[in-house]
Amino acid sequence: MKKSRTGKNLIILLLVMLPLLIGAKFLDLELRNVKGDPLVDMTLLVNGNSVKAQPADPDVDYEGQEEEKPAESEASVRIINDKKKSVAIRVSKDQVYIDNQLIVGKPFEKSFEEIYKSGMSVEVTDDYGDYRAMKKVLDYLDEAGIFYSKKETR
Amino acid sequence: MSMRFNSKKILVIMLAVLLMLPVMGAGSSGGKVKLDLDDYHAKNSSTTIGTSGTERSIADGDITFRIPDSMTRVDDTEIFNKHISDEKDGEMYLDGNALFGIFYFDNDYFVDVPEEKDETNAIERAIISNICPSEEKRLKWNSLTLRHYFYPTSQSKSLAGLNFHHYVGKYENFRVEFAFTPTDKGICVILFIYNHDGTKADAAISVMESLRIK
Repeated sequence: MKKSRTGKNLIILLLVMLPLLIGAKFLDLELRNVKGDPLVDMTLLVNGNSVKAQPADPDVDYEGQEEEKPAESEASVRIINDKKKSVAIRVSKDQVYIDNQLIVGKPFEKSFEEIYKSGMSVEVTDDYGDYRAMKKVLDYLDEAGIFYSKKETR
Repeated sequence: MSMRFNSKKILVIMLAVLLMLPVMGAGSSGGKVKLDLDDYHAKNSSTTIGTSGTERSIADGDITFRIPDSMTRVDDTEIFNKHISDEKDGEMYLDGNALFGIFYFDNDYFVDVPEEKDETNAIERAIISNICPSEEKRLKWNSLTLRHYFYPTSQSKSLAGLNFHHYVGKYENFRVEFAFTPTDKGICVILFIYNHDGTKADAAISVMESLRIK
């Protein structure tokens, strides 16, 4: 009889304690003045130039890339490009040069892709470059995730 | 007799399960806390925190801190909420490959219901969900009748005696660490955003140690 009373008391105690035992219950609190304007806009941080400009991907073996054999090609220009270790881009006024060759008649992106190979270093020189031309080049490199160093001639 | 024994057994099991529930909610999903000051003190007992850098302040001078020379200011006008930008209540810095942010969360301005301004844990949970929306489902658990909100936080203390709550969240491929410390009418929020396990938090720790609140 005594034992069953203890059991009953235990059940009552449990029911009383239930909200405390699940102690991690907090109210669902609403913030105001943050609709469409979050406290910190992570999309800008991640997609902008802050973190993305210097991604450190632990899965990429950068050392291994240098040992990669260049793809075979009959075109002599291609072979020269394969042996190259760096690409120089120069923006002068609204004209873009890749390795001192003025880009004419085709888009910068296409000309660059013909020369650039993974692992090459890229140097961008702002030689009194037009803002829009410069932005186009840098935006392209940022979007492609290509690291580059930048210098100015002024 | 055997019936009584079974009910007792069930009671014990129920009690054990109920006791385990809050524990199950603990344990951050996002990884280890790099900004844990207690952990840093334990590991670097002989290291002194750098004293060089630039003195900065937010929240009308109520929150002051020192930014080490290794950190570079980021143009954060568009990054913070308009109110935080307008009041100059937040700053964002590049620290090597990581981002370090600090801002003042004004309870009067951002908390919808005045009676909830003292609900620090719930406010912190709402801040986390606002910045990293995918964390919301990790902080919520639905039972049959009730919705429960977990907040698996850990605590640490700066050398100046400020208490911090920590939470590690995720945003896309980035780990987003939160550290909260209360002020008179709000919360000082610290963010540390990175995508590489090898990221050093020494500069961020140094700012947190230099933090003073009026």
